[in-house]
Amino acid sequence: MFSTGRFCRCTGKFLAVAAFVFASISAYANPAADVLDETHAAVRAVISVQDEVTPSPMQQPEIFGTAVGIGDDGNPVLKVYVNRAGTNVGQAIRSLPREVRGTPVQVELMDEIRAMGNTQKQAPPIALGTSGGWAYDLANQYCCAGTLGALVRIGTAQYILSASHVLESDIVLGGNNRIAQTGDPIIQPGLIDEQCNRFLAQSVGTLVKKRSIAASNTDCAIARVIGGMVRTDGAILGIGTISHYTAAAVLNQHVKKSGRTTGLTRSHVSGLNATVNVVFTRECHGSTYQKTFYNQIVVSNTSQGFLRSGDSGSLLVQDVSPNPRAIGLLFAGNNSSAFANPIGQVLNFLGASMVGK
Amino acid sequence: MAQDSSPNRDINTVLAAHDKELLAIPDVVGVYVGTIGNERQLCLKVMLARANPESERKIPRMIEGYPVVTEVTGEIEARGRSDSQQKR
Repeated sequence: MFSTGRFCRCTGKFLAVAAFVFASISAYANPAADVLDETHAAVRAVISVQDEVTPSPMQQPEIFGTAVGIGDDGNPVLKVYVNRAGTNVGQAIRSLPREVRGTPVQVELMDEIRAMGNTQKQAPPIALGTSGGWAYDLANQYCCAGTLGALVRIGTAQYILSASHVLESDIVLGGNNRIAQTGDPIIQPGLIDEQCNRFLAQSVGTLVKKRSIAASNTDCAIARVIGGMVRTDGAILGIGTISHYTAAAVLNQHVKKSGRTTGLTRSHVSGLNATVNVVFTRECHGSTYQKTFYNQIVVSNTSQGFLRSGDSGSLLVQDVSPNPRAIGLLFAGNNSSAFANPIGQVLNFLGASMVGK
Repeated sequence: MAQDSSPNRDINTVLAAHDKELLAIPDVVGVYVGTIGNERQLCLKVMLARANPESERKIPRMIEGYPVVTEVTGEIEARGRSDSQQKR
């Protein structure tokens, strides 16, 4: 199974992982004693094995990459990173040797490695959890974007679900003499990811204005899907399809989301029933106003590791697979917490149901 | 605000009864039901936009038998409008 061969398409991912592991090794080793850096004989021995054997296993789709790691005994080992959600994980693991020329081989299961953020223009039909927004979201010499979060159904028609301040983002004539209107195009990716040029993006829906921020206790909006432009199963990047059932948030519940800026991230529910004052802008880079929301879900967002600007409109779901249930619609945050409208409130306001299995 | 030592009402009812008073304190931006200690004890968490000793003094340590924990979190902002300057 292990043999030399051409280097695979995952080289970049592998190098990133390897760099991380080297950083970890440096951090844990005692610098005054035996520093396990790239000059250390034991590390060099593993690297030699790694260079020789890496190309072959990486031809299997389940294997993301290899790196030099630390074994339980504190000595360097060859780590092989395997996709925990791969279709032939067991077979892939069994195909790996336990050691190569005396170097132990350790398997580590992990989620798919991807660049942070879902900003790429997709070939239609697109998956959700991706960059998107109002086609004219440009004012005051800035352009804005958010996340096209999920797919909902009203009657027999399908709609993209996002935050109001993403799809209906412009509520004053202000710096661009324009206010978001029903029928306006909703694009993927959002302007911010296409040099503020809407002609470089693609229209995937048309806005159905709901004015949820003014009219309800939610920040939600929908766009009617343009036929063929959005996956009809409602699949979300990094998450896949979801359940058409929803779930209420529970304290300490494990959750995840997929969004434009930070991609797939995981956290836990840290609070319930929040009353919060949220600051919005009236247009891109425009003046601000504040609205109080009640009964909101709080998710731990330490150092903004879960949610950042551009992630609003992401669907908050259970951290299970396959087919997690929707819990909330993420719309706000700060350095320590993220906030979501309970999905039941959102669907009630819209008269919609989740598209899922 | 009442500061009883043992809870008689559900914490969500207590929050609903006191959230507006708490939000009226300068720099308070939110209040929610959270946990402390072993993550099983319910409490009220009060979020502050910035450190403000005067405001912190006005926030009770207990409300109707529930502990109150103050956090300096910053403003809560809508998170869907990552913006980029247009190139000219």
